[in-house]
Amino acid sequence: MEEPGLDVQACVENTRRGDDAAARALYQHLLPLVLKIVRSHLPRRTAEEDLVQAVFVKVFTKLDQFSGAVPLEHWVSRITVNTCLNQLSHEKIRPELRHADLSEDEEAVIQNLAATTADLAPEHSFASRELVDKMLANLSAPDRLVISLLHLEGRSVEEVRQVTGWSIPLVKVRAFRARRKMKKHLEQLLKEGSR
Amino acid sequence: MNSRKEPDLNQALDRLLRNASAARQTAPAEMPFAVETRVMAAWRQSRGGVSDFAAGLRLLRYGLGIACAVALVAVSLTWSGNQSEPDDIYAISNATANLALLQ
Repeated sequence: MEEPGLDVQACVENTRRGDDAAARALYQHLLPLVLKIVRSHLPRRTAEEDLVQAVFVKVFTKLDQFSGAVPLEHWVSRITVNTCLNQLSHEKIRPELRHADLSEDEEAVIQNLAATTADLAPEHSFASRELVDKMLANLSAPDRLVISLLHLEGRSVEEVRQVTGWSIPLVKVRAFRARRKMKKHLEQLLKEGSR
Repeated sequence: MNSRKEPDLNQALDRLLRNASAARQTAPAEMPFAVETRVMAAWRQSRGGVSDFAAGLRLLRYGLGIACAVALVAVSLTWSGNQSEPDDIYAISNATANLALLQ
């Protein structure tokens, strides 16, 4: 369990010296952050546990390179995102999503989007997420990442820049292109749904 | 022809993404204990802790080193022994001459 009031800096120093307890405390401290990113960007054929392990092994083996210029969480986020991105880049983009591929709940979300301009009901959030995941599967790994970070995790452009290492214009351009592709998919689904 | 008004795609996408972002926020941040153990083991190994195989290799390396050193010492002693000349280079010829004189 994570200790309350953990001194992260001291923990990092002790882990560098090989302190086992400090390394375990650091693992527990960073696990929610790593897990959140991994769950958001998990490649289809990769086990969650394997990716978390790969991230932590990288974090611990590269801990000597952590200068402390940025918060540890930012540094770990970047390692996590890059590890996920490497895994995602090996994945093939799924073929185009068709209306017939949607579940009943997802179809209801599409109907709702077409029928009203009001926000979708909270009980649709799971179906919306499933639908978004299917739409994201049609995008390239960087496009998927930028949409997840900006729109699903609610991060700012500056935060995305810090996490990915991309420049701000690149983040904006990728977000714009990814949204354009998603809109195209959504338009197709809305058209097919209205037939 | 569809008479229904086309929804604003930007707005529709924003609504979809907003709704989707509300999901999965309560997912527990837990991992099997085995993951922690695996991470710690990998970290220890990367810090110079050695596996059984690596320890065996190191022992083999030391053994080979010692064997080479012993072989070198033995070869050098043999070589120096072969190279050293007898104290009296005429000892054998003199002995033959002495024997002849005695007979």
